[in-house]
Amino acid sequence: MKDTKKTSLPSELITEENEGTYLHLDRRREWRLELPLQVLVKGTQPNGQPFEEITVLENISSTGAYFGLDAVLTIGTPLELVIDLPPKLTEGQKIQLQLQGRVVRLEKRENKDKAQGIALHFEEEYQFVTSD
Amino acid sequence: MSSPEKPSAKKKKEEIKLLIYCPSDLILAGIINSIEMAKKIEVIGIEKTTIDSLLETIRQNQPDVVLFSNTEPVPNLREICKAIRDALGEGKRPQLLLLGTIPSHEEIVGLMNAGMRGYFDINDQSTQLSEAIQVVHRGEIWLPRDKMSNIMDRIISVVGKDLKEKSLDQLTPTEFQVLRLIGQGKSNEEIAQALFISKNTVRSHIKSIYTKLNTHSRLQLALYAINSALF
Repeated sequence: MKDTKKTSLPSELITEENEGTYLHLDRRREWRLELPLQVLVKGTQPNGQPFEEITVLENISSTGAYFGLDAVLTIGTPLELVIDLPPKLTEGQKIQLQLQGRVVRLEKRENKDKAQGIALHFEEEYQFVTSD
Repeated sequence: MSSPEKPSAKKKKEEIKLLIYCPSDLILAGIINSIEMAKKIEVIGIEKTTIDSLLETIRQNQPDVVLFSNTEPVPNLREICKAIRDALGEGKRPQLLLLGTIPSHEEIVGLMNAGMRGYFDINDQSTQLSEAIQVVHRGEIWLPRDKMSNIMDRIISVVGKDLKEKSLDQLTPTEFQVLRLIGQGKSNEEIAQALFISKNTVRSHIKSIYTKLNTHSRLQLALYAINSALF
């Protein structure tokens, strides 16, 4: 059984200007945290082929994330991230954080596990999904 | 009315007094060849023997910049950097430019922490050496372009981690509990029920956490909570 909850921007930040988007957040306030969490990335490649790939986050903030990926993507590709929260935080309960965003930067990488670096900008609501 | 400074005296004042430490004759010849055309640099001494004699020469000649050629592995390089930095006491510290082949950017960060102001890789273009000397003399930092981004990433990571830990230390035990429950995706109502407090009190705690962690994003708070569970 799945219990899905949606959370959006804090009410004090929602104005006509920024409702429904994170683009207007003051980025100077946002720390990028180095959270080496395993993440499942879901999306569709330019040839129409859906894909799912497991990778590890390199950093993340409330506005975006950066990670390596082998799947061939283009700028603007929508992606979904599914992160299993650490059991130490959830007290053993299985909780996932799901985030949606678009690719805003691609970087070719050498000597890394994954072929390219992906910078993703979050632009949808995020969800905590609890599985009993 | 002050008398105008003589051109020759002004020129002398602008020159950078450089002391070179280089045990290798071959590399020393390359250094001299690279900087001999630089009009603003005056070589006031060359040391080829021991670190003790180098420190003594620094105390006697008071150079503006020390160019330390480190082409042979030295086990206590950080201690040497500190000794050169402190050789003249607090009042006048010579700027230290290291020349060599240091493999890792972590080592460069450690050496900069010990007093090094610049690192010139032995494989860099020799024509840039005089510019590197002038840059460190101005108190700025000289680093090879290819190592700069890695070093900045390292510095940002260290500084960011330090600030983040200090920030979490500021939270009260209740605020920390609220943060962890936000990290589990709980709503304000669920947090209120879990902690036996009112929703208004939860909002008050969250407002305080926002201020202490300098953020206004609930997702960022969740990420802080996840981070605190990982490390």
